[in-house]
Amino acid sequence: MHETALHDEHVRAGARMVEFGGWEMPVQYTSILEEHLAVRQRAGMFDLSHMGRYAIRGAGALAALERVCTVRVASISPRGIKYSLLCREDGGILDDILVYNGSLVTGGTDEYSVVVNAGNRKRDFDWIETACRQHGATLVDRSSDVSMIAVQGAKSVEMLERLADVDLDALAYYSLSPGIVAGESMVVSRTGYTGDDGFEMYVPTPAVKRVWSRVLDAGRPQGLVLAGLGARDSLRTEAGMPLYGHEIGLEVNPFEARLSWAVDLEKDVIGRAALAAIKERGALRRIAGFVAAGKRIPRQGSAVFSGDRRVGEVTSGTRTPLTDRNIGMAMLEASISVVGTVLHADVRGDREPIRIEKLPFYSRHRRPGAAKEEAAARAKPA
Amino acid sequence: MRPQDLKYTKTHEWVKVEGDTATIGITDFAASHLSDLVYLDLPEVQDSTTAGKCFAEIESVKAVADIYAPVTGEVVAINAEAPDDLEKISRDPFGAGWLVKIKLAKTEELRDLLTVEQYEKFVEQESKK
Repeated sequence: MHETALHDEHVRAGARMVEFGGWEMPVQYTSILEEHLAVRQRAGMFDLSHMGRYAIRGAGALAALERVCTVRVASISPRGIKYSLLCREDGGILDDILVYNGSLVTGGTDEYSVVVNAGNRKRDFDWIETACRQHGATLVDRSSDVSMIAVQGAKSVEMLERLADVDLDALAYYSLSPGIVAGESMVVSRTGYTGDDGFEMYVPTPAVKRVWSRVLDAGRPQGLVLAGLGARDSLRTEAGMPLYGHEIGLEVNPFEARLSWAVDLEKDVIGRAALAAIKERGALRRIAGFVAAGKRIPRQGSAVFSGDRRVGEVTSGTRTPLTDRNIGMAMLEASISVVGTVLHADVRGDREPIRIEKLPFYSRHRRPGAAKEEAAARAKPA
Repeated sequence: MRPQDLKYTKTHEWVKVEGDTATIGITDFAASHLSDLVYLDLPEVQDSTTAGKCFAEIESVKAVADIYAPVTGEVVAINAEAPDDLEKISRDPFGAGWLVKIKLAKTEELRDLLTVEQYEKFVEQESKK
């Protein structure tokens, strides 16, 4: 099993280590729910070095990326970032990635970068490299040279900006900047996977332990905690964000996953014909959010029924400490996937009622009145 | 710190024998390993248990775990407050977090249970894995 450069720091901090995508990673340091709440109320720091970080260089870099990415890469401004999917010819999703118009080493715009899921590193590399070869570009694996840390949460700006020589508060959402943070040169991006404000830091691996402990020491008095993959999973579920192997995968297309906003069919991307046909026909099933009425959490693989008819299955399930409800997402027949519908999930042999609810469950940009609506909805039996 | 007068299992239950009745719970190791408990399903009074067979279910944010009966017998009492107050189990697994009392049908089964020293050695090995 692979280990990140911060492995020993996790063990020393008392983390419970688990296997994830071929990597030994901290699932939790204290309690998943405590770490989750700390991010929502203060901030949490995550080691994300298990993810893949690749640079795309050369004259054909843009063309190669346009071929594999479902978003229009040419529209990403210098030092800008976009979420994209990689799709197969049949429209199935190979991975979801972030595309950076800039280097994760220098922040310079002489190369593009992509950040991919840990479990798909090898396959994504081969997939993108094929396009690079065809278009005269070079794919470079930066994953070992550059480590990756995220600081996420309501107070992440105030915690990090005191340690930075760049104005992190002024850094636009989904953009990057080179800078010195905690005494080390790095690239910082205002991105994340928790639904809260925050940053991802690309740190030269020889310096990553120093950055990790300096940021933690500086942030602790303000309530910064170490957070593991358990909290990361419950945070992204609460934020309604898909995870590869759950809401998305080879057998799922972007329209089913409600990711059509990340698909531009006015370009020659792999999978274009199939995606156009699916868009024309309309998705037959869709990801929906649900709240479970019972105390048990419906988990991935639980069958969902409308009466006696099976209408889909749960893709993710967790507990949200914000409202102490059991929530999740499910892939359901499109006609069933309507907010307010009550269905039943098979939870280890028992049928438990679930109600379809609007995604996300949490948004830091709250609609006016959203809290009241939620309270009113909770008062009704699901 | 683990009570000396209890017997233990490799599936992380504890047993306290008083006369012909055994009080059963899960150990501190199991409680902390699960953490973030969300659900507990206990048997009903008069249900019968079989040593080594699942008789209860406990669930945390991350996982669902079976609880195995350390002894064969009949459930004579359950901790009815525990399913609604799972904190009892995480905070005081050997006391307020007890789960059920079982009337022993086969006292010879007690010989197969671990002493606290044996259990501690077992947990140490498990933690190294």
